[in-house]
Amino acid sequence: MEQQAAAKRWRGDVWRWAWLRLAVRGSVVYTLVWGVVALVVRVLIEDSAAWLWWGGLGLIGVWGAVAWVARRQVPSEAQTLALFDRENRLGGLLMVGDVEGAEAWAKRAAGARVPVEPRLRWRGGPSGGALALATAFVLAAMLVPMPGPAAADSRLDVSRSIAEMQQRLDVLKEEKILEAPEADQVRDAMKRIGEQAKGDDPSKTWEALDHLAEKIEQAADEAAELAQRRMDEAAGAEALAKALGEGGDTLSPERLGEAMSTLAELMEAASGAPTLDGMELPEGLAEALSQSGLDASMLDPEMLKQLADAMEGRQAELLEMIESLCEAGMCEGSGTGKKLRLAEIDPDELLDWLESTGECDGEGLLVACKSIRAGRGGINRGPGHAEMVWQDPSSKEGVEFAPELLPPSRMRDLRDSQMLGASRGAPQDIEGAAGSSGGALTHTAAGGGSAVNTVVLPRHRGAVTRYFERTNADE
Amino acid sequence: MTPDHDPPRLLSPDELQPAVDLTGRILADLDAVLLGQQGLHRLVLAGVLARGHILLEGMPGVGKTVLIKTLGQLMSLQFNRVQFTPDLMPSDILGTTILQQSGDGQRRMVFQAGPIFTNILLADEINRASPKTQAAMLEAMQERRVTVGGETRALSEPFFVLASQNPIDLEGTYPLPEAQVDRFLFKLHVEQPNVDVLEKILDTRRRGEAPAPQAFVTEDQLRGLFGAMERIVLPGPVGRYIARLVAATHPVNDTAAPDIVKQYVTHGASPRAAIAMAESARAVALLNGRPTVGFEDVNAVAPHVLNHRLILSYPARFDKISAHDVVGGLIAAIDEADLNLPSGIEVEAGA
Repeated sequence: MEQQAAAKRWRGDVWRWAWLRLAVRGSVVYTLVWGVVALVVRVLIEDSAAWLWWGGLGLIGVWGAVAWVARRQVPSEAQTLALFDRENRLGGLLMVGDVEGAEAWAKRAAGARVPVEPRLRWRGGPSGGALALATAFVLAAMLVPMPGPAAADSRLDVSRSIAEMQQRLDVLKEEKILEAPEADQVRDAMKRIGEQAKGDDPSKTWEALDHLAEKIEQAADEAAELAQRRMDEAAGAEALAKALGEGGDTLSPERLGEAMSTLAELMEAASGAPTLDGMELPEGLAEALSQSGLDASMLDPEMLKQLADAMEGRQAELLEMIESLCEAGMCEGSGTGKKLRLAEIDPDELLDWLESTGECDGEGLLVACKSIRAGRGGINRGPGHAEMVWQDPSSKEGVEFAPELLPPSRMRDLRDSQMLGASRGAPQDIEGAAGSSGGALTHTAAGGGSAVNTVVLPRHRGAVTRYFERTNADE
Repeated sequence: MTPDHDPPRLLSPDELQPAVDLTGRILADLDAVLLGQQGLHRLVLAGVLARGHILLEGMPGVGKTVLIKTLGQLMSLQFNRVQFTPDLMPSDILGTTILQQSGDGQRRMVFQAGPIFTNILLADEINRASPKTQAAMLEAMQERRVTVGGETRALSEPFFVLASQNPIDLEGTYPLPEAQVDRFLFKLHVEQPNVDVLEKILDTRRRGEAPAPQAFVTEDQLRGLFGAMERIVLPGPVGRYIARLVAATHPVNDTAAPDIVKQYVTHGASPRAAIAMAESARAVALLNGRPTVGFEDVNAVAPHVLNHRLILSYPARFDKISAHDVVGGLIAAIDEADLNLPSGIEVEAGA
């Protein structure tokens, strides 16, 4: 019958509205729970946002469950017909549709035959708003970056620093400055630091790397210093050999013997570390030296020339090593573009010195060589030996210092800095760490994790305020 | 073999139409005699059709007696009127046995029937009689029979009591107990006529004399009227609505009672109220020309069935809340169809 069909349609509408209402409310609750769980999981587990999106599938289950609940909220057919009767003002005729004699009355009342179905309305504004807020909440929970967990559990990328140190370590190993076991030990330490580097406590990693870098630099500095000393010794030996070769016969035998002893001393020193194998001399020269015990009478000018050449080669070898260290950034003044040069000592001047001085030992000769070498200081006649010129003082106008590119600082450039993340906690001083000094970093602990806590005294506030409020940056 | 209950069969339009015509004519005549009280006339006739007693409350001179007297005359029913006074005795109403000497000189006790042996009894100012007299008459109202001197006598069929009481001048009165008030189907308030009605009365009634009604309802017609009443069908949802209304009048019923009941009602209506509401709703449906009772029929009679059955609390008097206000709130709070739609989902009004 038409009444039953209308009632069935209307009950279907009720079910749909009830399902929609429950689905919205259930979705609000589920979405809020989903968002909270997502927040907690993202805090605890890194890179969990991707699979947390699958939590949205739970909404399907919620909608299915509310469909079953909504079916239980649908009025019965008798209740629906009672509503139709009331809304169509049929006075009970629709409620007794199955009673004998109702057909006659249905013919008289159109509403009893085809009742007008009342319309349903759902005041779902608050629920819709709550759903929108819940959706925004879960999206925020999913998409907002989590700086704490990201820094806590993410790895710290120190590969670039380790690569630089590895390169330096290779140079030290290649130049035989570090023994292979020691170099391997440092390499293993770097590898271990790189593997264990974590973002939650980067200071430990950087401190360990700084320690290794300091160790490498210390070895390089010591090697460079020793190489420089050997170069001086080799330069002295070269100059002495040349001087003896050219004018050794002019020296008294006693002086010549001292000079030869000094030459032997310098040669022995110059052939030592940092080259592990020592200096290799030509076979004839080496045999002569071994037989003569550096007796001048046993070394002819040719041998002395070979000895001078050997010392020159030794200098070149040491210079090459120093240049390698400088290229790797491990020498003082590296990166300035300055080219190192071999010491140039005039043999004639050295011969004059040998003839004039009373003592000729190794240290004295080296000091003499330094004084002879141009621009290397030492004992010489100095500026006072220059002629005194009495005239007007030279003008400073137009005079300027030659620009010189300063080496990069340890802090590097800002572009080399790495964003490790933001710490959630307050900075803490590291116990035992040395504090910085000077300027705004006074009392700031080294190694990171420290805050600038310089107190601006009241009498300085005016100056500080003027500094930050200055209009011209050059002021 | 005859079943215990015949399956219900609706009155056909042809079967119902004579009853509708008859009631329409009765109401028209009542309206012609007592001006400006059409609603009251429908409720009184509905009460009569429901075979219930009616308590009329109104100021003196508003036409209570005229209404009842006219109704009796129209329906060819016997009519008696008793003016209740404090010294009125039960025997003055019910009747008594008197010693009477017959023609043969024998003396014997003979029952002298009181005015209650009639079809329509107007108990004027019933609250002025003593409780003993009130109780005697109200027993007869319920049982529809009188026991005097150990002998029980049935009252006339039909029997209606239309009592009246004055809402003012309460000194020396005996308010009806709740148990006795409960036996009245309706408690109707007879309103004062408005200016237009008063003007019409002055124009058409010389010395206030109403036109004499002509009796036209025969005994068979009256029997047919009551027979039609018996076949008015009360649908199940409507019956449940009546039951829910009456149950909701009890403030102890936490789930069903609306707030206004919980706040202002101390005692609710009895099951007799539900029966009275169903019967009177049937009568209203008959007057409306329908074979079935609708929700609107129940709502039409509910205030008059319930208003004298609700015992209001002191806060109701303090807040000037009447029983009609409570019943109005009750009807507004209870959904007739009992849909129990989910919150937020509602049926658009007037759809």
